[in-house]
Amino acid sequence: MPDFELPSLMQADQTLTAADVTGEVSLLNVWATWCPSCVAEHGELTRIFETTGLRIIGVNYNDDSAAARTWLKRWGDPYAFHIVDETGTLAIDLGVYGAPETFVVDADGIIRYRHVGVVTQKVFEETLAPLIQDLKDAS
Amino acid sequence: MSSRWVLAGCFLWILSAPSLAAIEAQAFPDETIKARYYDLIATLRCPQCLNTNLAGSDAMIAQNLRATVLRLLIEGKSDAEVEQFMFERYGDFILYEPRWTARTWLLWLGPLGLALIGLSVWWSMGASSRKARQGLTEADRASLKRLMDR
Repeated sequence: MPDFELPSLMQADQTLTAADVTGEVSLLNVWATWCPSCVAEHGELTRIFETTGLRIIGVNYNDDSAAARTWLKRWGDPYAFHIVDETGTLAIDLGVYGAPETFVVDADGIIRYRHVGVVTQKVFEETLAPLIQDLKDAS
Repeated sequence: MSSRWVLAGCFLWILSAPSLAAIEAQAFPDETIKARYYDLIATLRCPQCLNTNLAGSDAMIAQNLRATVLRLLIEGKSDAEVEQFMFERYGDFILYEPRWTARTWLLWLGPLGLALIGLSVWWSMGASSRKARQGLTEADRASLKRLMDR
């Protein structure tokens, strides 16, 4: 993970860093309220969290934080926490083209996989889940 | 005559393309940085767009990257360092002049190869038409005579 120091969406006084993304295998999901496919993806992320308990970390990308909180109230919040990336500095360090993009990060905070576009159940089961299992077994 | 004017108009329009670039209020500390900024955003490609430079795109990612270019310049980075920063994150695609690497040699040599193939096809077509213009050979005449006498 590239280094960063950015606020948390839900706890405004909290500063998040790359260390917060370590500790366990996680999905790092770049999303925004202006991104229609993020709504489409949200159901699958919720399903993944509810069925596997996998930690999902949000990067709220180039967005308005108040709008983002309203969006999460409306669609639900399966994320452990959200990193507020209002000016896209973290997204640029991640090489993000647009939202949604999803990264598989291992327990050491090393990015193991990048998926551009919507994570569907097929993508999760065929590509992400086996990799996540391997990473969990290795650690 | 009028088509020439249309052509000239198109040409002027192409020249004016930088003026189509998104208008943004950027605070430049000095004229040198401003000039380098405009040079760089003209030569870096917007990663999300098919063929637009950072200067000409309204895409969010282009706006972010323009701001990043300016930030890096203000931090004192050289043009090469800014390009390297972009290359590390977005790869060859972001550079309008991709670097010469194992993955990009085809990109550089491809057009030359295609031109050579075109030239050889053109040459062989020319050769066969030259042959055709030489007219009938003795063998052709003989077989023609045989057909006519039948």
